[in-house]
Amino acid sequence: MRKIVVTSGKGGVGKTTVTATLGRHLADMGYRTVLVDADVGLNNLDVVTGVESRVVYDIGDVLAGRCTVWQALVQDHESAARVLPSTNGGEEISAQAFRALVDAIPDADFVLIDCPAGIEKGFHRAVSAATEAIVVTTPSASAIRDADKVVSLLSAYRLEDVSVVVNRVRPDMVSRGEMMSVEDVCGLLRTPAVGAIPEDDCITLYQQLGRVPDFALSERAYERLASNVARREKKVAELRKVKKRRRWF
Amino acid sequence: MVLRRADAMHDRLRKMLTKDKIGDAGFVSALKRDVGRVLKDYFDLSAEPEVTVAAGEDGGYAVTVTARAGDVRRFRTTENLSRPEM
Repeated sequence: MRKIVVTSGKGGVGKTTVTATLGRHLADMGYRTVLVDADVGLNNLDVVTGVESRVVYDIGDVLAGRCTVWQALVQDHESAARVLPSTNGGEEISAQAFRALVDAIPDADFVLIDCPAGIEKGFHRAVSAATEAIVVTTPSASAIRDADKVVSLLSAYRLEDVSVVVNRVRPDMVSRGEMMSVEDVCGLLRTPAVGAIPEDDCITLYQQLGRVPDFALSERAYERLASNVARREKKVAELRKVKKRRRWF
Repeated sequence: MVLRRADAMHDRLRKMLTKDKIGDAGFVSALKRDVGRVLKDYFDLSAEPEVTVAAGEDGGYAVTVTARAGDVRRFRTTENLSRPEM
């Protein structure tokens, strides 16, 4: 079982969207995938995946002994992935308890842990249960700065692999030199990229409905990301807008 | 609003991330450890050296190393020579 924490430091860069969409693609590839929401209090993985109305138990119930891990898993309606929702708050969940809970997840090839924003207790709780990490960032200065701090913190956990997903890339702006490229971002973070996701209005639109349509521009990028994760590769195509040659005849 | 070019942003971020790392406690402790190791090859230190890194207004850094030593170490190649006068 591969346990991958999806983190970022900065909030709003797309951790939960990457977790949900990557999870769905891995499930579509035939892997048994479980998405775990490690954000206690500000949990929304169930909302992004559109399963919020079907949540009966959450990780708080599992840790309190009111149900098994299996009973708390909610089937994603878009794929074969299953979602383990977080609790809305209340009792403090220790890193040891969360780690035991993740290890107790039955029949899973991939466990993707949606990490809360920030670098406080919630971050350490989520990372302590993982063996690999994906750091999500955007090409903005504040996101890269926070991602750099996260990468430094992750080095203390001796994870098997730490890689970067650069989200919300604007190929047109990269081509004009107005936005840093994926290569520039990864050079600054000194961490290889496992995926590059272009800015896509469909994500924003359909996220409100709890799904990402297969005609989204970012669909191919997510397929490539899932392939890289499954095969432990780092093949990332630079996102550049190709100039159309003007014909004079 | 001025649109920043990607290379200007890259340079700005590189400086920002470097500055963040210098402010990190791990960076200073690693520097102190390495400086101490070099100094101990030359001196019998009385205590661990103190290292401070201060950012200057010109963007540079002022690195100050303070150490106290009880004696100069004798090298194998010079152990028969008289001690230098300091």
